[in-house]
Amino acid sequence: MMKMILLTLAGQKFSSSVEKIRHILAEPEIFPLVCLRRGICGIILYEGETIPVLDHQASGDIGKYLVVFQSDYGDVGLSVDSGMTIVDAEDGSFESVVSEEIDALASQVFSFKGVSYPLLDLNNILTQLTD
Amino acid sequence: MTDSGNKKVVFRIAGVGFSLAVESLMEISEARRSDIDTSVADPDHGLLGLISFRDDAIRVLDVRKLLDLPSSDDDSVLMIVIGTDGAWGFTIEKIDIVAHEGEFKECVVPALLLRDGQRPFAALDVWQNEPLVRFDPALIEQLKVSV
Repeated sequence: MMKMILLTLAGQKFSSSVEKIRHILAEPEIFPLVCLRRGICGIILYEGETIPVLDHQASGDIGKYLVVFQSDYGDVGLSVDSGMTIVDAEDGSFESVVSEEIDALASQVFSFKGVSYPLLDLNNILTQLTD
Repeated sequence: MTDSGNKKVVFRIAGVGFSLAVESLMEISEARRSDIDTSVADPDHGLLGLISFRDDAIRVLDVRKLLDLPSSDDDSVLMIVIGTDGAWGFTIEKIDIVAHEGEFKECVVPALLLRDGQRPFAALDVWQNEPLVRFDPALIEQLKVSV
């Protein structure tokens, strides 16, 4: 049974399939580096691997947890604000976002108990990262 | 005789940690702004000026600018390294330690991490659970100042 995770990024609600999550880490240290691609704020070290962290927080604050997602570009970390909820996908529904509302973060929403959670599209976000 | 081979210097610029192989290093000294001849400074090319070193005048590069790090007047250490065409210098905040190469573990740089075009480092060295930028003078001196 497919599970969905509901989370908050920079004050906005989002959802993702649990299958795309590799780790959830509590307050890992994010190390700054030089000449990083715009949209990347640093890296974390986890089990000997270096994982880029997306700089999506407009405020520059780092959330309490770091969710490491698998993507076509390799693993990437996203800082989330607070606790996360895991639900069964069949308890909600998936809907396409009308084209005017499509942005870099999501092109579909997962509706659960009357609340719409845009479905994170990491590959789309990473494709749009510029120098 | 002391063993100076196969060691790396760990240092910091603007809070970012770097590692540098001792064999690339010629001298570490106190950084004094007054020692740098800034009459030939070329900020657009990351050149702070010239400094006297062993009866020669060598370039002092503005590594902060080349690496797109915030500028500072508080750098207290001058490092002289061996570049492709001879020695050049740069200033840093501080040296953390000189440690044996065996204490560092090389880590690949994720493809997603760096801007296209410029490659200021080819690898990361993990030392005491911290990823350090491997400072390669030959790569740094080829960098162009970001506009």
